[in-house]
Amino acid sequence: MAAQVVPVLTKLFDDYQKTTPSKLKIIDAYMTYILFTGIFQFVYCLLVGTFPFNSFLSGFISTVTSFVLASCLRMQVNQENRSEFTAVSTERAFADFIFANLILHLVVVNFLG
Amino acid sequence: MKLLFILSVLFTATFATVDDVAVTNFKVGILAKDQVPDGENLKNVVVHSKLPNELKADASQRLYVSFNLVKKSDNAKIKPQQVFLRFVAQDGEDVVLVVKDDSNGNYVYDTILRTASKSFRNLSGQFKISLLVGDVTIKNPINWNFADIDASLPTVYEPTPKSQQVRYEPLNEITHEFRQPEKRPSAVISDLFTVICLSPLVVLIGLWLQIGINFQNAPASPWVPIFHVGLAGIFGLYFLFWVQFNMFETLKYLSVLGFFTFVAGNRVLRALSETKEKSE
Amino acid sequence: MTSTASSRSSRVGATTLLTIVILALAWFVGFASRLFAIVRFESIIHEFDPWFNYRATHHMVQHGFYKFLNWFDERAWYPLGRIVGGTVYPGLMVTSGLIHWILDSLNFHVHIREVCVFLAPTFSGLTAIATYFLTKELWSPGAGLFAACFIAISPGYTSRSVAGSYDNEGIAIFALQFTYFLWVKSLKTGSIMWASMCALSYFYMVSAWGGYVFIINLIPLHALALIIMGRYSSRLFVSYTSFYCLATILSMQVPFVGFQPVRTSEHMPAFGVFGILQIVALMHYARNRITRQQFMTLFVGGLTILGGLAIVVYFALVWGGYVAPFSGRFYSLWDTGYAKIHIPIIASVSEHQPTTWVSFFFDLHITAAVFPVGLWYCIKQVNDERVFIILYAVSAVYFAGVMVRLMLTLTPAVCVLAGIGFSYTFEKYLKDEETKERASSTASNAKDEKLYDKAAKSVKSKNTSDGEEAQVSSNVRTIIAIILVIFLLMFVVHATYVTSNAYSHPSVVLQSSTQNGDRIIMDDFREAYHWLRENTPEDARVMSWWDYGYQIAGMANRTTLVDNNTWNNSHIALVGKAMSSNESAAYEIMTELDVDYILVIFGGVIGYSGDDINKFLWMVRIAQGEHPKDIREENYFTASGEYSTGAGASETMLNCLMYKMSYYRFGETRVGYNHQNGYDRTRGYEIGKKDITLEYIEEAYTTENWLVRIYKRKKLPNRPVVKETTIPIKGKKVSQGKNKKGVIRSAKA
Repeated sequence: MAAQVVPVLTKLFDDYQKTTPSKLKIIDAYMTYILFTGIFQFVYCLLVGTFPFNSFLSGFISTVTSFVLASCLRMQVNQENRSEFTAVSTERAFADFIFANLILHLVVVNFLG
Repeated sequence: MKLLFILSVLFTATFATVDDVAVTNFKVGILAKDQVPDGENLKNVVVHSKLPNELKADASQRLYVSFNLVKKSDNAKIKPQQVFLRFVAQDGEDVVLVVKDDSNGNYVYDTILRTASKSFRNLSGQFKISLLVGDVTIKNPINWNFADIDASLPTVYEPTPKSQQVRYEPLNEITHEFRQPEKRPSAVISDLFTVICLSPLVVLIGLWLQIGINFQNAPASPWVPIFHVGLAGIFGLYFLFWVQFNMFETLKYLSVLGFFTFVAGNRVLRALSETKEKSE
Repeated sequence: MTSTASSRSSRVGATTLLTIVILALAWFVGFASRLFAIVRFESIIHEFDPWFNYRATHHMVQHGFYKFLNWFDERAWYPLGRIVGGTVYPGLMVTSGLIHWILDSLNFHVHIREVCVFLAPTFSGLTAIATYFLTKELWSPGAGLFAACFIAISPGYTSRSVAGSYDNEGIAIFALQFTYFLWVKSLKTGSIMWASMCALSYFYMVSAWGGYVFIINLIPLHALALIIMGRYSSRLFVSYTSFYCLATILSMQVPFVGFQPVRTSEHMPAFGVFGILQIVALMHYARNRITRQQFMTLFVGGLTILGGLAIVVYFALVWGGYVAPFSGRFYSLWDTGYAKIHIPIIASVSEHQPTTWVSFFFDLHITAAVFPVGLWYCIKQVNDERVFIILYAVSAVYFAGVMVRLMLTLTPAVCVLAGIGFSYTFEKYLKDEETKERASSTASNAKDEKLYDKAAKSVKSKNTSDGEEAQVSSNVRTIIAIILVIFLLMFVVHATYVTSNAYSHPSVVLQSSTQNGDRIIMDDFREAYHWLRENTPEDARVMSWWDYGYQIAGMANRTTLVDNNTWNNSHIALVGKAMSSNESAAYEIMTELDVDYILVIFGGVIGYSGDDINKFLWMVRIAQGEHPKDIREENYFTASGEYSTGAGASETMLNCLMYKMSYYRFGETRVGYNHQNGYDRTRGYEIGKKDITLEYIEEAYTTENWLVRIYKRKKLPNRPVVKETTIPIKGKKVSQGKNKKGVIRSAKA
């Protein structure tokens, strides 16, 4: 099983390096950053506890949602998916992304307590 | 009405002759249900002495007490205001029964204990019986423990319902217990994790530099700085919201800021897409 | 070229104008038909729950929003009190508070009560518009107009939104429809913005009604169905994931909901679908980049491991207490007998009973018959968003069958599908230049114009539809069209009739008619509440069955023991026990609870069936649930096992407090010339015991028609037990009785 999986993953990574436009790479970098932040927060919750539960949740959900929004943005910007998003241009996608982030962080701040 | 009553009492108290009272002819005994009281089953008790042996009775028997109350001065029968038998149990609880006089002016208490036990509130066992005599006209009231009794009384009577019990003592005060906040981790750990959580930011900047961000694409337009300042302003506002504002204030400012940012952002992105279309 | 363009633009303009006019009329008709209650009676708040909502709104307007969120109401659930801010869906209060504030700042000074009374009719118009947009996205604008007109007057929705029925559902149905519209819209476009709007609308729904759980399960179900059907697209990923994340954190802002979205099983399916969607998206991303065989390895292997892991983790979390298992209310949706056994308090509410077939027809009329047609069309021409309405309709039909109350969620789905059904049929049978005729016919018909509009079209279709489709002759088309129009007319008549006769009663004021047809208004409830307000001390505590708690708090402004919030079953059971015990036992309970007055509803004089004697069996059952030693249901039945207060009634029944309070002095009355004394008109027989004496309570007030009877708990009797030190025995009177006993307690001090 593992023997099969490893080459698949390496192939994926090589593929990625070669074919992805830099615009997407920026988003990917952003997503990696959020991913690590989220992981660290999760580790914190496992090690220390979730006591101010609302604060923990707002932090964690903030990272999850940012990640998800970024991945959505990435999908919409990606030229491969152009056919699926006829109604959403790149700029529109970016504006939507900002809009959603503004809502998200208003709520997060409210929930932070 | 009440006033009249008090006046009349005062009147009697002032004008009645104050005197000592004497108990004579005091007999006490335990009788079976239909037994006629006579010299055999009753015992005379000398005043202010105590019956040497304890009386024993169960609920089916009668307690018989008879005596006369006379003035010491002229041996005339009197009717004091208060004539009681007082039963004191071992734990200090007491029961007081009223003794009535008959038509001849003799005081007789003669009741089956089962009937009397209604007033005993489930008390049973050993009691000290005292005679209490008192009145405003009596100089030295009598409180005379004349006998002990071991009465086994039925204890099946229902307790007084809770609603009829009277408590004069205040109830225990209930203090509100606040929920104890959970223990928070020490400041060092918190700060450490804050740093750790922020560390990927460095990675992000590093990656971005490696990929290379170009700002050249931005169209030269006054809307661009407005847009970015607006965004920064909104996040600044959020920070203030966190620190001090309430929701309504925040929404008020947000509506203004948001409007300008929206217009500016709209212009910027429109310009971007126009240039892109041109280039295509 | 230019002329055709201009004519087209004028046609578009005409269509838009027509749409707006029709929607405005739908709004107006919906609004107007909901005013029966006000015209007949007056502008008052109806029923039970609205009284609480009104009281809460009033409190919020007076004290401000933040004070409202922290409101601890010591007048309810005496002696416990209730944290109102944390146990209420504040959307309704905030909405009317906002409207009140806007009107105030525009210098229209309206009392908050009027805002509350007219809120639901106003929102019914918004619901119609939201339904229009939803149906437009699902099918066509024409169908949308049909659906909007249907929902505006559909009795199933009117029942919860007449003027004065100031309840959560009034605004929640709008939020529901609008959320669905935005969801469909975001799914179609794949735009984050629509998904965010959808989340915001969902937030409004969460703040308004507990029924939001329906949305947060239906949308994931839709997403799951699309994945299973192989209709996964990036648009689905974008709209669902961004919706779910934002919706979750938004819904947690409502204090009553709190951490439930991450803590209870009801919300877990949405999370599960979120996870599945991530995996599927990853697979799709990978599929283009690797070979099929590798893909299958990843797909099958990864999915099984993750799926198994997810289930294990879920059960571990439930077992560990981090996630609450499904609640009783949830189970009662699947097993209709569950509530009766385990949660009698839910089963005791009439609107939680299973629905009868009659009420489907009564509430939906022709739309109930037509909506399967629309459903069929949707299935035949299925696409991503029509899957949604199919799922919506199927699940809503099921839930409506389980509980009468959930008829409300079915109605919008039925209206949408019936709109589609009618629109499609008419399109088929009335093919001609539609817009012109519509425009000409609209102007003349103000009310109910869509029907006349169709009628006009059907007449014209006779001339124009020849030769369009050879299969169906023009005569057949005409006949079908006319029949459909008649159906629609009947629907309007039925809807108006039902609205005016069945759903426009405030239930605070009763109405009956004399033999010669005059209307009599019976205002007993308000009479009694007014009496309480005027004649009892400010802090008097009134015990009644929980149905009347909100009304007593709202109208009489007195402290209640239990109310319609029913959050504390054991407290309700205690009140039920007091009502079903004999007088002395009840007196003990009432003393412990500090009750001053007891209020019962008695309909025996006027034949009002919703009175406490008819509800009494539930009181017994609820009391038995908590106090099985003292209260047994079978003791209240006759020898033959019936529930009766008549001749054969059991001794327990005849001695219980409820019986005594209801029938006290009733034996002296005679309701009609041809009846015996003590003839109960509601039950239709003579009562079992007429000479009722009350020892511990006394009658305080009985309203004109005996509908509300108020009793006062007597204070403690003069006691034989006195304390020697406090009350010395005085006067010669003592010696006059016969062996009178006096007891002196020892002064322990």
